Amino acid sequence: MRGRAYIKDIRRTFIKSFSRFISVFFMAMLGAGVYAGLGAVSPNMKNSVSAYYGQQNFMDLRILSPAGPFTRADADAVAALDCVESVMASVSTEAICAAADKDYVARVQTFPDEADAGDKNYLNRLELVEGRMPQGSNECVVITGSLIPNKIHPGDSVLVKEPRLNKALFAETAFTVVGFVKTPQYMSYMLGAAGIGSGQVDCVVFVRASVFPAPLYTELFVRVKGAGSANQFSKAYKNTVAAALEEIRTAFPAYVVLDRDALESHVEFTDAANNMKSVATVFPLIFFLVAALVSLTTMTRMIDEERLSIGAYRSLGYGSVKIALKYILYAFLATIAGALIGIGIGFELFTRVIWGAYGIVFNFPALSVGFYPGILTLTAALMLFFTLSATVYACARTLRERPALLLQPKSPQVGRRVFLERIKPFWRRLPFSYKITARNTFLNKKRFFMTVIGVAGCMALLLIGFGLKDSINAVLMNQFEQVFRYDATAAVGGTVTGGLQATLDDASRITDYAFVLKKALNVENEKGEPYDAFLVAPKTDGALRDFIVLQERKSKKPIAFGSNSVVVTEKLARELSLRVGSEIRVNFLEDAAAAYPLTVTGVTENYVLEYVYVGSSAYVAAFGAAPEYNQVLLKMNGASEEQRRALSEKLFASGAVPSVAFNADTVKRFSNSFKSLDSIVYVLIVSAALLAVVVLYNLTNINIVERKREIATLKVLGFYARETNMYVFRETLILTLLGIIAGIFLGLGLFGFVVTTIELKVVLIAHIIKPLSYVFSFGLTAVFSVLVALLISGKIKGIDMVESLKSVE
Amino acid sequence: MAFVEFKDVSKIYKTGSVECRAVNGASFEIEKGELAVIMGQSGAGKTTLLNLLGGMDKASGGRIFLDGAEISGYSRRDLTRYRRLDIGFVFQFYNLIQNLTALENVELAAQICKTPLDAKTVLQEVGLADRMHNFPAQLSGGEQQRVAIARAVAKNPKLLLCDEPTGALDYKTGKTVLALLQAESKQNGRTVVIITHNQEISKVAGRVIKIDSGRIVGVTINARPLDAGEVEW
Repeated sequence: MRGRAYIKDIRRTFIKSFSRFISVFFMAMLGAGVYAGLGAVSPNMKNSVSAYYGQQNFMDLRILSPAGPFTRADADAVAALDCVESVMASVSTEAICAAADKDYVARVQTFPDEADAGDKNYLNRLELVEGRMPQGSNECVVITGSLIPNKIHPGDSVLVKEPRLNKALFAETAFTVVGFVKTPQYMSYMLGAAGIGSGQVDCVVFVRASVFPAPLYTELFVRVKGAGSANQFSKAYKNTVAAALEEIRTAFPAYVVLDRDALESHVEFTDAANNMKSVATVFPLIFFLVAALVSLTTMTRMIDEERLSIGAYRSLGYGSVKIALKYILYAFLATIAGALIGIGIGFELFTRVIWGAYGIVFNFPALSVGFYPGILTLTAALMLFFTLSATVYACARTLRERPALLLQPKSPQVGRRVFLERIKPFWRRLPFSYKITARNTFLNKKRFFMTVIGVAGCMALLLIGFGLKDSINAVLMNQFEQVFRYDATAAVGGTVTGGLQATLDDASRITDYAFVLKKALNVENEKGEPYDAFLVAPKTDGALRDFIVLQERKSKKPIAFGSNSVVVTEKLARELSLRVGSEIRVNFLEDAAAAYPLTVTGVTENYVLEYVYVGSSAYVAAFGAAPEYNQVLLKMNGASEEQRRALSEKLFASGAVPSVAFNADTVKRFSNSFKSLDSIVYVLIVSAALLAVVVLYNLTNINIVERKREIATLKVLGFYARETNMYVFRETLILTLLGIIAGIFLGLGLFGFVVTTIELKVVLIAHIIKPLSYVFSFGLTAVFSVLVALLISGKIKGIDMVESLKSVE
Repeated sequence: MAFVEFKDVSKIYKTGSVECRAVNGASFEIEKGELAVIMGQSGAGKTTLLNLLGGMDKASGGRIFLDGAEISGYSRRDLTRYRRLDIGFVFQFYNLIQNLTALENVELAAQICKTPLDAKTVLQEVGLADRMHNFPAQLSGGEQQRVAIARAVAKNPKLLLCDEPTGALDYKTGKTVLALLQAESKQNGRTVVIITHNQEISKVAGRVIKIDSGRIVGVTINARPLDAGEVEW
C-alpha cells in the first residue's frame, strides 16, 4: 500500500507543477536540438553528396599528360592496372565561345556517345536537369555558373570561337543548346579558373565524344577499385585512393595524377561541410551551459517548495534515495522527452536550412537527412548528465538537513548589504527604489549569474551573427574598392596590336590602362605544399601600383614594386608560411612538371583569390622569356551599367578584345553567393531569441513565484501596477544590461574563432563588426527582455493580495 | 455620519455554480479615533470584511464609507490609491521585505504617501531606535511586528487595519504590540481596527463587532476598555 500512495504522490506532483515540467522540457529541447541539429549538418551534407558521387560514378583520379595527348592505348594501359576499376578518356579544352550574342569563357568537354547509365566506364555522369541530352554531334548541354546565371537558354546556339585546342580537331564548332545538366565535377556554381579571357570559367559545354573524331584525349578520369564502396569522405576512401594514386604515378612517371582535392568544386564543398562542423562545436556550448544552469535553478526551486513534503517523508522513515528518486524521475522524464523531441526537430531543421542556404553556392543533389544514433545518444546523455547532476545536487543539499528542520519552513534568505553601499556618496544619491534593486540584484547570486550568462549568450550569438555578415560583406568592398583600383579587365588576343592601343587611347571613358599578363598557376613553398593563385606581370612595373594597391594590411605600409619584385598576397603567404625572402616554385596548369623559382619580396593585403605579382626582370629571370600580355586593366570615369555596356561594345568592335569583365559585375555575382550565409545568420538570431526568451522567462518566473508574498504585500501597501512591475523588472533590466556587457566580450572572443573556421579557401575574411551591428544586437536583446517583461507582467497582475495574509509556507 | 460605515454589505464568491455568501448583509459603524475589534471564529467571514475594508476586494452588494467617501464605488485604480493613502496595514506574519533594513521597510511605505511621518521618529516611538539598521531576519518576531506597525503608521493613514497582529507572537510580546496599537488610538487619535479570533483582545477595544457565518451578530460599546497591560490570555 505504501508504494501505491508514493506513486500517487509522484503523479500528483507532476500534474501540479506542469508548467515547471514544461520549462525543464523546453530547456532540454532547445539545448539538445541545437547541439544535435548543428552536429548533424556536416554528416548530412557529406552523406548526401557521397551518395551523389557514387550514383554519378564520380572520378577518383584525373590524369593529365604534359608530354602530349593520350591515345586509346594509353587509356587501356591505365585501365589494366590492378588498382583501377574503370577509365574514361575524354577531351576538354577552354575556349572563348559566343552564345546569345555575347562572348563567354567556356570549358568544352566530351561525354561518351553511348552514354549508358549502366556503363562502368561512364564517369562523372551527367544528370539532366532540363531539356534533353544531345542526339547529334551539333548539339550540346550546358552548365552555367553563378557568373552568368540565366544568360543562356535552350535553343541558343553556342559558337566555339577561340579554343585552346587546335580548332582543326573539332568536327563541329557550332552547337545548339538542348538542355541543362549537373554533375559532381561541377557541383559548385563557381566553375573554376581559366587560362584565357577573364580568367574565370563562365559555363561548361558538354558535347558528344564524336565531336572530336581523332582518337586523342586530353585527360583520363579514373575510378579506383574499392573506392566506390566506402563513404566518399571517409579515411578508408582517402587511403584507397592515395594508394592507387601512388601506383599510377610509379607506373607512369610522365603523367600528372590528381585526386579530387585538385577539383575546386570538391574542395569548396569539403571546406563548407567541415566549417559547419567547427561552427557546430562552438555555439551549442552556450546553449548547453545555459540549459544546465536553468535546469539547476528550476529543480532547486522545486525541491525548496517541496521541503515540507520531503520532511514528511523523512519523518515517516522513507530513505533518502527513495525520496530523491521522485525528483530525479521528474527531471529525467522532462529532460529525456525534451531532448528527444529537440533532437528530432534539430536533425531535420538545421540541415534543411543550411543545405538550402548552401544551395545558392552549390548545385546540390537531393538531400537525404540521416538519423545519427551516435549524436542522439551523446546529446541525450550530456543533457541528462547536466540536469540530473543539478537535481541530485539540490536533493542532497536538502536531504542532508535533519527531518525536524525540514518540517519547518526554510528560514528566509537573510538580507545583506551590497558592496555599492560602501561607496557612500554614490549610495546616498541613489533613488530609494534603485537601492532596493541593487540589493535584490546581488542578493541571489545564482539568479544573478544565470541571467547574466543567458543574456550574454544571446548577445554573443547576435553579435557573431551580425558580425559575420559585416565581415563577409566587407570582403568584397575591401577587394574591389580598396585593393583593386581599376574598374574592368579586358582580354586581349595574343600580341598587343597598335589598333587596340589606339582604341584605348581614344575611348573617352577610359582614363588609364595597363597591360598585364594574368595566368592561373600553382604555387609551392619549400616544403612542396601547393596552393592555387594567379600570376600577374605588368608591362610597366611602375604603373602596377596605380591599379592595384600594394600595402601591408595592418600597418598600411606601402610595398615597393620594381622590376625585380615578387609580391604575394596575404592568405597565400599565410597558407604556405611565406615571408619576405622565402623561395617559392610555381608551375602552370598546362605544364605541371615544369617548376620556376621566385623569391618573395613583399606580402600584400588582399581578400579574394590569391595573386603573385611579378616584376619584368624577375619574370624574365624566372621564366626565361618576356611575358605575353593577355589582359589590360582599365580605369574608367563613370561606370554605370549603360556606360559599361557602351564601352565593351566599343572594345569588341576594335576586334582585339574578345571579352571584358567589369569589377562591378563581379561584386554583384559574389554578393549573390554570399547570400547563403544570411540564412545561417538568421539561424543564429532565432536561436539567440529563443535562448534569451526562455532563460529570462524562466528566471523571472521563478523570481516572481518565490516572491509572491512580497509582491502581494506591495500591492496591499498601495503600489500601483507600474510600480510593482518596475520593482521586479528593474532587476531584470540591470541583469540584462550586465549580460549585454558580458555578451560583448563573449561575442568578440568567439567571433574571432568562428570567422577563422568558416573562412573559405579563396577568401580572407577581415574581422569586422560594424557599430550598427552592436546597436542591433543590443536592441534585439533589449526587445527580447521587454517581451519577457510583458509576458510576466500578466503574472504579476494575477497575484492575489490574499497571498500576503497567508501563513509562511 | 460615522467615520467607517458598512451598510447592508454582502460578498458572494462563485466557484462554478456554487455560491458562497462570505458576508451577508453586514451593517456597522466605527467612530473616528476608536479602537475597534472585529471578532469571529475562523471561517466566520472576518477576512472578507478585512479585504473589503482594506480595499483589497470589492463588495457584491451594499455600501462602504470611510471618512465620507464611498469606497464601494471605487475602481481598481481608485482602490489602489485608497490603500496607498488611507490605509495602514499590519499583517499577522509581519510581511517585511527581507532584503530591506527596518528603517528601509518603513521608508518603502512612507515614500509613496503624500503626508508621511518621519520614518526614524516612528521607529523610535515603537522602541526600535537602536535596531533600525538591522535586517528582518536579525530581529525577533515581536520586533518585526513593531517594524510592521511603524511601517503602517508612517504612512499617516486614516485607518490602521490589523490582521491578527498578535497571532504569531507569544503572550508577552503580543501584549506589547497590543499596547502600541492602543496607544496609537488613545494618544494619536488614529482609528485602529483589529481583526482577531481572540476574545481577550476585545477587552481593550472601545467597540467590539462580532461576526458569525457572514452575519454581524452583535456590536458592543465598551465604555471602559482595559489597558493592554491588564489583559490576560
